[in-house]
Amino acid sequence: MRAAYWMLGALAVLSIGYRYYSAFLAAKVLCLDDARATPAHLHRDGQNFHPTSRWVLFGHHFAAISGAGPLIGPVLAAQFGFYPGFLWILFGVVLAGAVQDFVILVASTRRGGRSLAEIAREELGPRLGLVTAVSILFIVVIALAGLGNVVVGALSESAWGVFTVGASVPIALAMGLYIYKVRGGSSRGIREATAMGCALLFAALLVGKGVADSPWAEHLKLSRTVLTLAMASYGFVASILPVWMLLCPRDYLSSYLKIGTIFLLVAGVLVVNPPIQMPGVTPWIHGGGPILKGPLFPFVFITIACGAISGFHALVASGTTPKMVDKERDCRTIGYGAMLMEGLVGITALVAACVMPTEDYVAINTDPKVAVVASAETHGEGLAASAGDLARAFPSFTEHDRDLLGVPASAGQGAGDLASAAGLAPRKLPASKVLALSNGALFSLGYHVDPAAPRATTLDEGDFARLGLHVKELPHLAETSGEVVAARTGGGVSLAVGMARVFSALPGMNALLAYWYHFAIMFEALFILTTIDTGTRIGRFLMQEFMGRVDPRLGASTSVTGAVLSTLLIVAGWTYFILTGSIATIWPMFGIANQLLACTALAIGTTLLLRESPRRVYALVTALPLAFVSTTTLTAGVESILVLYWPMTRVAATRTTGLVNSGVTGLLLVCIGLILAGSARRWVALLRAPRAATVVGAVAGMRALESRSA
Amino acid sequence: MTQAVAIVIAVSLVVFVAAHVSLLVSLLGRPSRVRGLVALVVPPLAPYWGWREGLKLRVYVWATTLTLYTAGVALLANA
Repeated sequence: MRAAYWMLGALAVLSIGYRYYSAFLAAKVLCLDDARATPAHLHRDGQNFHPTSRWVLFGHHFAAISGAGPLIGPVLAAQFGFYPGFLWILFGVVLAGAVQDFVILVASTRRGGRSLAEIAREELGPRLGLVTAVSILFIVVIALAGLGNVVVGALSESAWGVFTVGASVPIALAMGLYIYKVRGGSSRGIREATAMGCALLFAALLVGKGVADSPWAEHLKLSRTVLTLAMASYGFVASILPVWMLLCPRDYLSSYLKIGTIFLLVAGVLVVNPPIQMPGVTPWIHGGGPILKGPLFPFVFITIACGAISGFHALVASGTTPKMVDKERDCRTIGYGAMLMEGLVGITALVAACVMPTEDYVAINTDPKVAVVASAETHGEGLAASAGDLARAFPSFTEHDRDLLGVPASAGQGAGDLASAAGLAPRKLPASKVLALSNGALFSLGYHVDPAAPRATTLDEGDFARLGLHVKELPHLAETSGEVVAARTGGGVSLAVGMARVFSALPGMNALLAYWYHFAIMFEALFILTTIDTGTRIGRFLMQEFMGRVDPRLGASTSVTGAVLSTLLIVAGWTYFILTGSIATIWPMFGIANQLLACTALAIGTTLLLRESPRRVYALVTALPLAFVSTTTLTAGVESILVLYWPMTRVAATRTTGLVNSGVTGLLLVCIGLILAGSARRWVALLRAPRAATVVGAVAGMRALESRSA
Repeated sequence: MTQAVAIVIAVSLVVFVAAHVSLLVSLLGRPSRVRGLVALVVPPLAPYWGWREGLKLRVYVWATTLTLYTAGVALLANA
């Protein structure tokens, strides 16, 4: 199997979907009409409501909808094999995801740019409107935790990555200040700042290697906890600062980087045409996989969320975008087209993950327990060959090593070393901790590393085998990328490795794998951080809206106390989930939350089509995807609680996390159940009503809205 | 030396892709939009139509970076 042929096939299906299916939706189902005034014209205020060129708005919408979801989901779902992910992305995006975005964008555009929660309140009543708003709030918090976890996984213990991504914050701040304070927001200022920003980002990438090899590196090798707290601080500050200062310039920089990189990756796959090494279908389709424990059905459909269908997009399609649509027919390119582009991003990420050997994919994405001392019970696999070897290595251990291994402070000072080592013998440690040991410690235990080098990047196949990790090309990848890439869960690292492999296979690029790897990490982190600051801000607005019900002063957009309090609550929410969870627990919850929001959007879309489309049968374009997505997601929700979260409550250490995860997932399932039941009741009423009356009612309602807006 | 040439090659490729995408987007935004899609599949048509549309700076960047990339790859191959 060669990647380029699959990529060409995917491009053909996406083109056909856009040319024919979206044309059918636009002409027959939604009856787009440029004569109908859009809210950008009706409420034009030069700030939120502003008619915008179709292609500029396409860029904005694409940047807003494409976070890390289409990149990470397909990488994680690659454990089921290449075919399931490929087929779900391709047909999911054409028949469900793009349809949802398109229908909600048109619906919001025809309702004065109203949000999904407001449309739900209008269509389903105030109670279900409130339920929708609550579920959206939870979904935003969980989504941010899912995305933040990827950044933490990709940047932990990586000085180069932390430096490059950290440098992007002052660069974005400088860009914002230059554009608005020096150049007064002119387009010339934007162009100049863009050129400078891109140049500085690349400079940071190049300098990062020097920093990682310098004594400063020790200060930038941050643990997961420190990184999570640093990201929480960033999210808090970015959500409070004015949008023009940090959020907009970062968003802008990221958009350029994302479109360019994806284009480069697609071109790279077509030119290099690497073989797909992941089997079409793996034995893990029945469950028990190394990353996701659940079976293919229903877990592939919630793991790959954003690339195929994503409820989060409905928030954007009923948020900023409808307020800027110039003509109604532009919605086809923006709503349907941008989602197809996101599907292409998902396919590209899947291909990048599948071109690496399965052994390496598993070694990167799992963090198995390694015995401290090898024994017959562990089949001779372990960090140290014997307790004696471990005792002899004690003097080479740094304080950090001792913390990681739990070595007593007295060890290495003579008496009792062997007893201490023997005491450690039954213990097992995660592979990530073992690989984070200093090179001095690993060298003294007989591993093939340079004791003076800062990172253990020269471990060979035999070394990994000693630890019980089975690898193929991973030692070469680690050495050439200059990073320890094994046991780096979260999906971010394996995607970066896959991308770097494709890029470095281009003519003349093989000496630059390390740079491509860190470029890919920067690319992922920039986007995720953009989603985090934007998402935290959206969550803050929602939370402030709720607080406004308690005290109207806190709900006012000018209230500093309200802004700080609501931001703190949102940041604390997603930080809690990252600190207490892992990719195996957070990502399914993120997928379920996201797909449940998609169910809400599709249910509302079906109601609207039943009422407004020329023929009732056209409501099937959203009803059929709704039936499929709600079946898979509700099943996944129940299974996640029963198989994943509830068993956590039986262990003391994870009891609280298990209870919280079960509670939140259960609450979301109940919310969506209520929304679906309310929608079904409405559909029955609409189907029973005479057709002419509903269409006349819809047209009258629309006219009333337009005249009220005018 | 090899590392420096490789970095020049990488930067050239990135800028080349940016110039190409920029030309495609501009062509897509003008009448006869199909040219944008055709130039996606047949890359040399992007600078040709771009030049005719007056997008000379982008065409210069496109040609220069492509030349740099090709020269760099040839240099590395012979090194």
